[in-house]
Amino acid sequence: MPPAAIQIQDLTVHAPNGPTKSRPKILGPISLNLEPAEHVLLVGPSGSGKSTLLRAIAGLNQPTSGTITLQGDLATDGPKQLIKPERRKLGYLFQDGALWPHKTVHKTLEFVLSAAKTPKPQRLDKIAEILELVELTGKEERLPSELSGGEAQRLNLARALITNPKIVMFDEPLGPLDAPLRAALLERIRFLQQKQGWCALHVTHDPAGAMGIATRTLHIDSGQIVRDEQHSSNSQATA
Amino acid sequence: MSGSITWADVVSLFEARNVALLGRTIGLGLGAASLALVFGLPFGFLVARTNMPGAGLIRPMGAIPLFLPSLFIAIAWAPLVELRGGLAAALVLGFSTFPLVALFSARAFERIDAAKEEAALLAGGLRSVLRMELPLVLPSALAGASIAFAFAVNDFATPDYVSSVGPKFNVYADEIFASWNVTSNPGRALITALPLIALTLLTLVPALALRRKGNLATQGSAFRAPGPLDLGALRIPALIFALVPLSVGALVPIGRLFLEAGGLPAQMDAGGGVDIGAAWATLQDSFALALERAREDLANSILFSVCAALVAVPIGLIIGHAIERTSRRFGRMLELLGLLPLALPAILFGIAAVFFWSTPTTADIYDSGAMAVLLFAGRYISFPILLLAGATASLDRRLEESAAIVGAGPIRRLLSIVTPELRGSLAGSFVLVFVFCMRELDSAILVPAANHTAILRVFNGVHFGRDEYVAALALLLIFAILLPGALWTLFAKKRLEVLR
Amino acid sequence: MSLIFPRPFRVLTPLVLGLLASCGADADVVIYCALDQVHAEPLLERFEKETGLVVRAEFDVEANKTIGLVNRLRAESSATRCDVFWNNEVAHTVALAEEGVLASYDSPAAADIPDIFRDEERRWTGFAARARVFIVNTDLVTPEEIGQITSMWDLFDPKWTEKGVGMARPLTGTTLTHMTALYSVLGEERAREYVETAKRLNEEGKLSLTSGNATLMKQVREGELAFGWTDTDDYNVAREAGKPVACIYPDQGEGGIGTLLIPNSVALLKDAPHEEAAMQLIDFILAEQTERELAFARSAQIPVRKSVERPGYVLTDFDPMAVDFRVVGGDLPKRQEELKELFLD
Repeated sequence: MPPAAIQIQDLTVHAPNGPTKSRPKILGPISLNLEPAEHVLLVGPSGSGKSTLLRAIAGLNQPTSGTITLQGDLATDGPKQLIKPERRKLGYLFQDGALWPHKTVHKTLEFVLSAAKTPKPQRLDKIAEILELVELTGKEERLPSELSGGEAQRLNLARALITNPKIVMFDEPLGPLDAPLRAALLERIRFLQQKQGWCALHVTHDPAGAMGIATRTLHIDSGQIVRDEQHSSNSQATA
Repeated sequence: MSGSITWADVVSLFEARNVALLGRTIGLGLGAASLALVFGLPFGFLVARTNMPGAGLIRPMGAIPLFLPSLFIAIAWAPLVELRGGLAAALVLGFSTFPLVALFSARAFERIDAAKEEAALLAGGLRSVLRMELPLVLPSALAGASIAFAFAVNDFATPDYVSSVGPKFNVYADEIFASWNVTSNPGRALITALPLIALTLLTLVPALALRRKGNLATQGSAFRAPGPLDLGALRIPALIFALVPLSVGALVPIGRLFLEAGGLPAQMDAGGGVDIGAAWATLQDSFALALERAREDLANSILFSVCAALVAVPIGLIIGHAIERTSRRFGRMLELLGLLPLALPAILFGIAAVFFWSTPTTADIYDSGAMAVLLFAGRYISFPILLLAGATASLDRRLEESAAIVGAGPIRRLLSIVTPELRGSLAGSFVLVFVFCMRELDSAILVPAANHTAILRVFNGVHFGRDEYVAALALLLIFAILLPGALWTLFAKKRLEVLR
Repeated sequence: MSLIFPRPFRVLTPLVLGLLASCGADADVVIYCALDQVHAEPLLERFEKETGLVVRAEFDVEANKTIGLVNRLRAESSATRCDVFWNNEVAHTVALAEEGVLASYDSPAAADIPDIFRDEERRWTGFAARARVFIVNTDLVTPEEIGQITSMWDLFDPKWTEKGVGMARPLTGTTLTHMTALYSVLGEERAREYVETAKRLNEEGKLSLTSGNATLMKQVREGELAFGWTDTDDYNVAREAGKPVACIYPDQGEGGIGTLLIPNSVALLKDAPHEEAAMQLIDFILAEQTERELAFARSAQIPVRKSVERPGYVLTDFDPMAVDFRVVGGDLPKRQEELKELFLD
């Protein structure tokens, strides 16, 4: 049996900065297993710890205690970062993009491939392939500021997926889009996940809209997982 | 040369004489900082936020007084006014440092949310706008004034020069210089300097805190930049007000230098009428002579300053970035360390350069221009550190995080994500380091390699009474100082970000 | 990455090369020179032309007069990189000799220089002197009145302090040497009285303390002050510019202590890296021809050899102060500290 995509054990995170004792707890302790090819929605009120969990998995914050294991490798052990964010091989879609304003579509993807040490000759093909998948072909020379909202999110998606990660985090990337656009993008995400087979952890304020692609929904409140729902129909569809 | 420090040296710090010197120096600093505040705050408001005529042009020109050696301002005004002593020193240093307050204030005024301002405008017009905005801008303005204070208390050439007539106005920096002269003992110079260093740090640390507070107070997520406010009938009085510090700190000194380079004061002294033709010829001769005599020195100044900036800016980027992106405690420590060079009296840099580098193994470096570059870069490293820390703070952290997640390591992130995003601030830091190195005198005095610069030639020249040639040389130097900033302002698409 | 890196490197490389080439270390002889750059440079150029040797000269900075180079020599004494020190005064040179920074060299060119200007151990030799004089503004002081200014104490006369008098703050340069010399000539008490009176009058706004002799000269020249202490070279700059100035050699005649003469001094550094060329340069500097040139130059230095030709405005016929420079040099650090405490408050 392949290892779990993400395995979390007794993870707690406290607010950064300030005297250690007075730092409020913002997450945990939580334990969690995510299997390959799952699409897990993470829902809950603002400030409930959804993004904190994602950032902890990506290695972008410092947990107080607990462990995070990614595909069988121990990545975080309490405050110790055993694997740096740049070595975790994740895809991550940030809220409203966090696209690099000075890089064109092509340069953004080229940068990702060069950071991932993809050999140069393969890069052009890979870029062409992913741009086709996210329907951005022909917009290679545009800067993020020259893209529409939907296009920017598709670039965000391309950036996260071009290196074929096994785990992809969605930190509410579709929030600012209107409903039809969101639906179209979700359909695109479902298509890509089926094709590439990654495990997704997906923060959203609109669980109803995303329900179509979810295999499971985690309800989180005050830093705790309060409900864990399986959606069997979808899990068969993606499996 | 021994670096030993005796207990007696420490005790002597508390002598009545030293305490009095320190008190007077603080008075001078407060005077200069208050003046800088009184002119800088309204100036910043007028150029950044109103429809004052010529605001766009006057704004960049407002930086010039800071870029001129303060002694140039003193020398230009001495023949024109009777005023001497402490008040004169405070005035010169206040006008010389007012751009600090103006820059900080202008930026703070720009960060005020248009929605807030419109609400205030509807409630009670311009007066109500100012009442709402002043508390928001004041922390930034005070931060600028604190740096002005730090500049003023470390200057000794200007107080000395302006109290050449009448009762002498001694300052604490004199004491450091004199202590070193008497004993050649770097340890004692350092001990003597401690009160001044402590004083400067005590001012700068709150200044940073104030500035941070100012930034937070005026930054909202749905921020909309405010438009220019209509001054109505006050447009012309406002222009006149803005021109006062600009004239005192830049236009009059530069104008006076032109007159001197043309030999006009000498003509008038001789009693004859003013002969413009002769003045024009003298002007040309003066510049020709200055270029011939000082070409090498001018080239050295530019070379050293450019290299110092090229050394200081990347280091400043690394440290400045680290201040914002590491843990808060470590960041604050780094920040304090980054401030230290700004708080050290210039003369200590010269002393330290001699003490540490004038050894048999480092003699080649000590003799070469690299020594001057190291000296200058070290002296002004605080500027890029603080500027780039500020710029990093306002850079969306997730741009770097998203690069980390796709596999870019820290160096690649710094080079490919942070550097291009901060290019305006990087250029601003570069220009600032360049400018201050070009006008650096106090630390350069002791170091042989740094002696071959244009500013040192100007100060040597002042001694010989060859006013025309020295004035022309000073103008050439000013031109070289202002050139990079002017070019960038005119041609670059990105604004020169001295403050973010 | 390729976006940003190579371009700065392309700019950087020539810069760094230029930097290392600047301030060339390939000189045949290195001189630290406290004489004003404009006066010394032509002489050194002539030396280069005559000998084919390359001279690297470090000049002093006005803000740091004399003491900058002296301190630098002290600092560098563990790894001397200077060969020859040309000081524009002598007290600090003596102090350096006492500290063991200088080497003995009995230059043949100095054979006819009077003994009072030479160190017994030949660690330094004096030449081309300046005198400490009063520069007077003749618009403010009439020709008849000028005759009344004869003594150094006249500086404190209420008659003149009303019109404005001054001196450089005696913490550096020749003014420091001058005040230190007064201690050995007048005795502790009278000398102390002199400096304390100056300080008191400054506090009362009746006597100006300038940042240097040149500033003092400028202020008298412009009529801001009626008269004050300066050096003959500074006086000569004002005279040449056609300004209304006159020069008084005080304390002449019977009972007077005489006018202080401060010679330039030249010395070989201990462990000088280029000893042979250094001796050649010292011989050149001490030659009669140099004293002559300095007498005719703008600095109007007074030759210490009676035989050297000089222009009419360079006075020879006056009573010099009888002062032992070895004593003054030895006394200097102590007096400097005292004067600092008196004048810096």
